Amino acid sequence: MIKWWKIAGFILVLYSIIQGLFGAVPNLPILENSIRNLYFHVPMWFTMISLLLFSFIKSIQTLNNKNTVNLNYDSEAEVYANTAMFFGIAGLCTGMIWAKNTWGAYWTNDPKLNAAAVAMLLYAAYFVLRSSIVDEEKRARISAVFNIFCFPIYVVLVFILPRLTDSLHPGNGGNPGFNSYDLDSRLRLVFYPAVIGWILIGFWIADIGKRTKKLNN
Amino acid sequence: MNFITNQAKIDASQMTDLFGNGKMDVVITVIAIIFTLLCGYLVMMDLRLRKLENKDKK
Repeated sequence: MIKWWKIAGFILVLYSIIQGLFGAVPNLPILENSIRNLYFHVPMWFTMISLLLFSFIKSIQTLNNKNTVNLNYDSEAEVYANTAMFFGIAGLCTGMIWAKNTWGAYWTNDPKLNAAAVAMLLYAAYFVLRSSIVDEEKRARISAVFNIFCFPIYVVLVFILPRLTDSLHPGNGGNPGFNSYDLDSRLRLVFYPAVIGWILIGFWIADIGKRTKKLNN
Repeated sequence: MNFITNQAKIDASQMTDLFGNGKMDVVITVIAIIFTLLCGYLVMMDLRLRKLENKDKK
């Protein structure tokens, strides 16, 4: 039997896809119908940050014991980070499509875009670091420390720095956020289920990754 | 109740018709295929892993 939260994730995402493509949306200047991408682009980042948070927690748990490292937690931290990267790439792709339709280019010099790219590279470095160490305990210890540093840097890069400077993204650099007036009630009815649904799907993918690793071990 | 009543003043019917040029049908088909494949794969993997885990327990 498939667990209830996995079925819930599937239903919520299915609902958000159907409503996202066929439902009514407000007519916003410049955005027009591309506002529908809100249901796909933003949940990817929410899912990514949730998975990265879990990866961060698992890395802390890896180092929790003074004398030994917990390899199980380390393996889980890697799976969560791996899945988060998958959603990060999906977030970048959906964002690029949206940018092309509203800003006129797939990639602009927007600080949030560049920060997101740097943050993704940071986690790419985490995987390179992992694969470069043969000894299991050493790998777990060093990569856990790196991951614990990565997460706060990611938060600063993606959520704090772009807000301090000019940015095309809503809610950044003096731009009004979706929350203030763009995100009206019709969007909320689809947006929130989409966020919850995609987060559940993200954890479902991570769960499969964890179980596969466990069986391989 | 601002959450419920805060609706945009202009209606979507005034926007350009999305379905008119057939592009939207392609988008819907692509998204539907990707999502179906992803979920199908997840269900298949989940069930297969459960079988292996049960075998491993025995």
